[in-house]
Amino acid sequence: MFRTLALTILLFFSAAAVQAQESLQHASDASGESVVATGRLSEAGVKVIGGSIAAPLVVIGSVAAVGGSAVADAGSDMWQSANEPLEVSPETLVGQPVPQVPNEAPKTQPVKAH
Amino acid sequence: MRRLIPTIAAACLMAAPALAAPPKPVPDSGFSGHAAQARYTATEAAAFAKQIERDLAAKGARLAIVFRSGKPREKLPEGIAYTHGSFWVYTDITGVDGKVYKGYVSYNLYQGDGKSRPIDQSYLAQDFPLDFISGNQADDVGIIIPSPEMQRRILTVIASPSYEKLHVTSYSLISNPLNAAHQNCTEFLLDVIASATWQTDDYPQLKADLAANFRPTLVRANIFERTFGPLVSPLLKMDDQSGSIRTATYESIAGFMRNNKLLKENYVLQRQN
Repeated sequence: MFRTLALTILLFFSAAAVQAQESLQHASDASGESVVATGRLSEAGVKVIGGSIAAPLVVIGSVAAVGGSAVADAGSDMWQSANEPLEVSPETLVGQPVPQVPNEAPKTQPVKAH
Repeated sequence: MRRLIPTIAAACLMAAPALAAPPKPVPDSGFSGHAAQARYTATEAAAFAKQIERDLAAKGARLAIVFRSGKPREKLPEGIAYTHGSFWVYTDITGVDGKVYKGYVSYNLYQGDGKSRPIDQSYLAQDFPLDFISGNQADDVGIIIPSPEMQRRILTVIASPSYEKLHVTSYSLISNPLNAAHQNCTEFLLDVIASATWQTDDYPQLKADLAANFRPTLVRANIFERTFGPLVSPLLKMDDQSGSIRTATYESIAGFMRNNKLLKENYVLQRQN
């Protein structure tokens, strides 16, 4: 009786752990959906552009450090026009695929000694 | 022993509802994860993503906070509509063709995938609106547009080393936003907003400021989930919780910003067919 009960409890918890694990697997690829979708979008006539995200971005003339002192004046020209409608390109931007990087570094031409 | 058997059996029966289904907080960055199947076709996702971009652009938002639901709404805890949120930043994007495109980029905290990073750790990443919306399991998104000054301040934090300094890599699905031990995507959003509000990246100070001013969402979880959650999933870390389970959500972040006059507006945007 006790063995049966213990086995039941063990299976019960194991099943729960497996179930939780399965649910976790759906979370793995948080980004990169657009790369996968690129082909399908192109087939459907959606204009797809691979884009690179420029590192930080819109804050013009800001001082990097925040700590302690007041946040620096950032992009005054930009903020004077805040709340006005902005332009959005009609193309759908997607992440770029990983480029093919050659294994071997190019051989450099020997520098002639003068 | 005979006395013990009914006790164990009763404990199992009590636990059954909690274990019959995966724990409610399953992964996305917050409460839930990607569902097994995408809700939209790629074309529908692209259209919805562009709809959101145009909506934000029409309102002149250079920075907005957008929330999606990584699980069907009926599977979320009561009072919680969205599971993942990120900053959407209006910017120039250089295409592979060399042209400059205008649109939004999403700044996210994502949990590890279990391969390159452990699943109980997180990382910061940027991607595009299509990436963000592809994980949505509802026909709407929650949107917060901060006041112009808060947009400017948040952008300043994002562009500074403070942005990474505010990242706590220890990931918990239902991290307590008033505690510095763990973090999920919504707590990270809140921490960046707090940094912009109080103009500091002193993390203990920010947590103290939030404890005094932020009212987190309370999550209903039975005692079994609280006790055994960490055994079932390493993402369910409970050591930062005491008393009621607290977390940051679209609703509580919008409430905090509204009460303190930090936002321009917040609303739910329905997907157009």
